[in-house]
Amino acid sequence: MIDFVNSAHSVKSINPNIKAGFALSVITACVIFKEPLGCVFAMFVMWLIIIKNVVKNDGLSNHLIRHFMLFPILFIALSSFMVSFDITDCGEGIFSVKILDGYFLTVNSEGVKKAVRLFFTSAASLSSMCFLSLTTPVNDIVYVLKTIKCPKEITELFILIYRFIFIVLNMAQSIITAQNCRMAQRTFKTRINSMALMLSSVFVLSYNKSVFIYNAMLSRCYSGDISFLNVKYDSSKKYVLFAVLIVFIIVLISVLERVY
Amino acid sequence: MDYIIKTQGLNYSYHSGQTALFDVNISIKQGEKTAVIGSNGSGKSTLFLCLNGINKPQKGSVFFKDKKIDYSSKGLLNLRRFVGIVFQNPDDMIFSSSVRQDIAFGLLNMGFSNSQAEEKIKRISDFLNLGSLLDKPVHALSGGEKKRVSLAGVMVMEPEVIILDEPGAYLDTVNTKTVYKIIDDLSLKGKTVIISSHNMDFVLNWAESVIVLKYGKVVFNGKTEDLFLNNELLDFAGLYEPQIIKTYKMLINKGVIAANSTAPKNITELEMLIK
Repeated sequence: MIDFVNSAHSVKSINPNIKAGFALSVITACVIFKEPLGCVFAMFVMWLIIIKNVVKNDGLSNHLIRHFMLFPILFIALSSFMVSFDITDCGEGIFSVKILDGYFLTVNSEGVKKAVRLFFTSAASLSSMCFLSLTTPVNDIVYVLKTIKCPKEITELFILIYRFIFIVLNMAQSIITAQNCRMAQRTFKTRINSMALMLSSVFVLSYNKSVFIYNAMLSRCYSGDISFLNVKYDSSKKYVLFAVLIVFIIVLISVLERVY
Repeated sequence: MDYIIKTQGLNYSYHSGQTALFDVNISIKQGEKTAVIGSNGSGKSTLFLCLNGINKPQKGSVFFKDKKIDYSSKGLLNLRRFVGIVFQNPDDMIFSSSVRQDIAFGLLNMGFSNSQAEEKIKRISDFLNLGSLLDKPVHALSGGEKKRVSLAGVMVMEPEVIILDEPGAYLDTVNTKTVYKIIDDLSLKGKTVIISSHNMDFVLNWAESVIVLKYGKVVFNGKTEDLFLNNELLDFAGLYEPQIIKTYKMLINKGVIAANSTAPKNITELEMLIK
């Protein structure tokens, strides 16, 4: 679905280096300072950009929010909640429950602070990653990898693995459908058996597919290096300035929050 | 130089030891429309891979413009500039993240600059009506679109010989017609087009010459009409008679058309005969 969203909106034309740089700088600022207010501001900016440019243009708001925000945020909230708990031998804190002889499950103010910081830092980082994945198609990510002089082998593997995810998924889906047509889900035993058969078939078929794709690449003059077409992007200074300004504000809010 | 591609005593066996081609001798003229037909497993795809230099025969040779194929990496790159192959399943051909990147793949390998490649992509996408798909991810395409993209990826390299392995496979009627129209256009442009097909009506109508393979051996190499008027050979090769030929024979039997008339290739020619 990310690809369908990616291929339609206006932010797509912005130089992916700027977008990736922006997202990574925001994550870095949030992770270094771990200040809730700074993180909230980062989340606000990221989701404002996503909603204004991606959701409104594609009309995917419900689907998008459910997939990219709600479930991961719930997961982060649960994880952060667990972090607020501690096992101590004194039983002091906001909340305390005796679990074993001399040991207490407690929640103290330090733990709550830690959990809140963790929650907001993770949520802000997640929002930045959502921004990057919803505005940058995979070939733009390749452009970023090329710019940062990522080894060619990794870039090529990235492209091929990305393509194979869909090929393997399609294959698996076809096999599952074919199995279901022949009562593969009848009992627990047949289910396990069908799954094992499907996995082994997918493994063999993927290998065959890779041979076909390699032949197709050879037939189009492949000689060991996959070359990529450089697409022209909008690299206006206003985008760089905007990115720098936002990161600066996040840093400023975080520093002020820490000081006061 | 009359023949653009020629094979001499071609033998190819897979690693498993299974012989796929046995003593194949074929010659294809420049600009000729050739169909390679035969039942499944007869060696059509293997032959195509040999013509493109992907499969190296254990015995025999392949000649391109009277020059024996040099299997060095430089020689193969040189051959593949001139002999393009479109695989049966478009999913086996397209692997890049976007349509534009996939079409550009061959061009960039050939050494074209970014701007030259962009220009050629624009031209081919206009020709194949792919303009709106260029920035789409390849896995988001329909079967027909994938086929056109795989065709574009080869056609954009402007090879002199284009080999199409079952161009109508995986396509619905409308998309099959579109692809057949593209094949016709390629022939009109003077390209040497070699196809494999199980659609005998299309082969009769389109091909000027036919090569029939059975168990890796050439059992017929000649004019299309000569093959389809030979029932014995059709039976032997496991092929069926095109509807037009069936009707033509029936009309001869009924005395509607003369027995010595030329066999029609399509419905228009049959109509002319009746008139």
